Amino acid sequence: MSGPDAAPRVPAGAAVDRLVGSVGRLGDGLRRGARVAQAHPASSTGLAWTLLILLRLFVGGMVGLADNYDGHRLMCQLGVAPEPIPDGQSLWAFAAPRYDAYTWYGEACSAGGTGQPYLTTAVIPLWIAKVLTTAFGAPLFGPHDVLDLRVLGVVYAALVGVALGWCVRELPGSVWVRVVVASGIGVVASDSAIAPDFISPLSDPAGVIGLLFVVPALLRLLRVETVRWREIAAMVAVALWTVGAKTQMVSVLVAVVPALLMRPTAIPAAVERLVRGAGGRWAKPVSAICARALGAAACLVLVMFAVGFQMTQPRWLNEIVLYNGVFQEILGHSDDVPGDLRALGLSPTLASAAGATIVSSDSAATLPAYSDFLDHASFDSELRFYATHPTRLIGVADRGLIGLSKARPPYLGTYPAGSGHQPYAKECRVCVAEAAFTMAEPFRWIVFPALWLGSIAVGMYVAVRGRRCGAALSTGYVLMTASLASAAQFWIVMFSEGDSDVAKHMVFTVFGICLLGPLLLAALVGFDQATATATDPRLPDGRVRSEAEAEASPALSAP
Amino acid sequence: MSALLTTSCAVPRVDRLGLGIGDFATTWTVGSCHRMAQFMETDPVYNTDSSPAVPCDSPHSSETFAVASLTGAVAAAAQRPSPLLIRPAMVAACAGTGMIDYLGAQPVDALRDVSIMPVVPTEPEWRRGVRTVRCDILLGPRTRQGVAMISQTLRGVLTEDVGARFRVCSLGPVQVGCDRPHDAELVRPTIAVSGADLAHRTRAAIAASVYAACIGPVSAYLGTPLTDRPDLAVRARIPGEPPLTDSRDGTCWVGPARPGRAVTGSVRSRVPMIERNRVPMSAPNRVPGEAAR
Repeated sequence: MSGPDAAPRVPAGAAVDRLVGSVGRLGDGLRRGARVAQAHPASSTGLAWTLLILLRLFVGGMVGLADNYDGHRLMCQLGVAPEPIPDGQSLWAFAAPRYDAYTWYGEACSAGGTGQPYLTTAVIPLWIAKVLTTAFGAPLFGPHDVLDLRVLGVVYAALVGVALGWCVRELPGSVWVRVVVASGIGVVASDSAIAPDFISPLSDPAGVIGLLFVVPALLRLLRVETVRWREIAAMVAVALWTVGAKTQMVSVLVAVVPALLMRPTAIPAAVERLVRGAGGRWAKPVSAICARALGAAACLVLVMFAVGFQMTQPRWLNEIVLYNGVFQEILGHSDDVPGDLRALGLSPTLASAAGATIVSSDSAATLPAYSDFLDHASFDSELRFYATHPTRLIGVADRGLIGLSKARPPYLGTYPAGSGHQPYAKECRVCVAEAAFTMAEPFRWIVFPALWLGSIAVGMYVAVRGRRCGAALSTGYVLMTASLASAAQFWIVMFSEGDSDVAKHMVFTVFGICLLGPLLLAALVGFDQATATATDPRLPDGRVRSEAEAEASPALSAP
Repeated sequence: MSALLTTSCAVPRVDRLGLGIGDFATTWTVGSCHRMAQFMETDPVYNTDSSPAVPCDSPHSSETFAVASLTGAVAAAAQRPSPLLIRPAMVAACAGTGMIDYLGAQPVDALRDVSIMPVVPTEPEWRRGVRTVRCDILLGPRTRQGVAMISQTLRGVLTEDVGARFRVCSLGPVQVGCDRPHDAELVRPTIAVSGADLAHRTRAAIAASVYAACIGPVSAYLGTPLTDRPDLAVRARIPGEPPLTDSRDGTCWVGPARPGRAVTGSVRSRVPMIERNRVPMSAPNRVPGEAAR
């Protein structure tokens, strides 16, 4: 290396100096980053989780969820159609993110050809993804698509980041505890049972994102000193989004409605003066009613929306749900099909279709009495059936728990075609939920009820004992109602469609159960804060609490 | 961006939020042609079509051969019934309404890649009292990779060369359209073979019986006695023999007399057959450039 073309020799000492300098600069950068993160923990955590979700979705090749034939009713609303797939390749085998422009006329774009739309809030992120695909998709994914679901994955990753950042703001405890709890929720969102949904043509991810936002919205509503219209509006907006994502998400009202009614709202000064001016012994109750009026109005809006949303569901979808509930769940697992048909008020001639799917050759739809079924069967009659046959609920619950144990639909692939993976292959980048739930399957009658009941008990204890401390009340309440809502979700699924495609329908139950872990940690932190406040003689302003003040506002209360 | 704006601006009515565009009005004209380029548009559940008709000399996937009335209990319903209830009524309304005649086919012609697609009124039309069924000839094959199209009318298409794609032929054990290289062409009707024959007679004996029964139909198919066409030979296939493995009847085929030869086109076409060497099967028949739209 001594020729004229040889590179100039660099003294070893100078190289070491440069290396040390580089490391030092990197260290400085990291320290500056850490300082910024410490100064802005919410936005830093949100940003970090957006990046982490993007990494888990894209590094090592994109992963998403294959269409299960439900994609069309949603995607057609955006004026797109999936890129053709090769002959002989099943739609379920691979995730297919690319969509071309296509003009759908009339009822060709409707829910199952009913002429009725499939309405869901999931269309909003899709519209955003479509705009972004058009504007920025070409350099990222190539100049071909009108809508690329990989862009939708970016949109959902950003929403996850915003939700987790908000969680950091609203959770109790020190910065690192809040970041740890929020990151626990982030891990749940990035699990292989959940995250592939973010790149799918289905409405499920909108429900997942809704649930993620419900957590900080509830925490804020329950822990702020004075509830104002902003907290109510945020809660209502988040709940509307979530309920509007999918009909089964009505279960979220179990958590939201009591919270809206629980806290009094700040009354505008003019109204307060008016009430006091009216004076007399009615001033206090009238004032109390006024303080609950906004929350009650919000509840009314939510309930009306939920009922209206259920009513806008296409008849065909209701027919499928009702069919599955009766012929697959009730009759398909019956020892006395004629007796069950009598109990449901249906013709005994429908017995031959017990257990048959709606599109199979032996479907009840091929029988003359099918129109009687459509005239007489209803969700009410299903519920009445279970009320009069309560032992049948054991079988229903067992099938539900088995479906829940699968954690994700086993028949939908998550890799795109041409990625080198087999058809129907499922990614396992963050495979915690599936592994844990699968291991729990033999003990399903112990594990899942214990998780639900234990969380309700702990949450209730924390919320009631620490009801005078916003941190304990909010975290305890969220833990308790998250458990209640996921149990309600479980039963809504089982009472509506039964065990038909149950593993897929349980996605929100799986998500809700997984959230119980970080929410339990949050509740313990909240309870610890309540305990510390109760034993700390100092007030938040640094003054030492007087004996009278300590008695007047103990952070911990007897249950 | 222009595509986005086009789509955004194409959904003007709030009451049709989440639905397709257009006026939800069906074209009820016999001879009208329709372009439904997506597999989903002709799924049996999606049983309406309010897309504007297209000229029949442009690529289209279906063509209306009849318009019938919907009757019975289904028609009496004020609200359009479930797709599962309406489907049998639609199929019944279109049955026997002349698809064969429209295509210019005869009873001896065996058809493939054409089926009947009934189209019912849209919800707004049903509310207005429309109880009509449009009977379309739907082209095949239709897959998620692409749908078949044609750029000429289907009226009398079986009398033309292009109609060969709708005739059933075989290349060895594989069924193909007669526009592809083949060594035999299917002739209707099928030959009934009794269960007793199948149980007690040898395959050779059954094949001989089917062969004898095929002479008449094949001559009718050719429009001339078989003895006038020494270049052709009858091939009798017994039940279960490929390519129609699920057939419970014997089937009659006609093809080149010289074994190992493949031809393209139909023996019923006015164009003389083109003899070719046997070539391997290729992809299903599709109009180039239209399949992947």
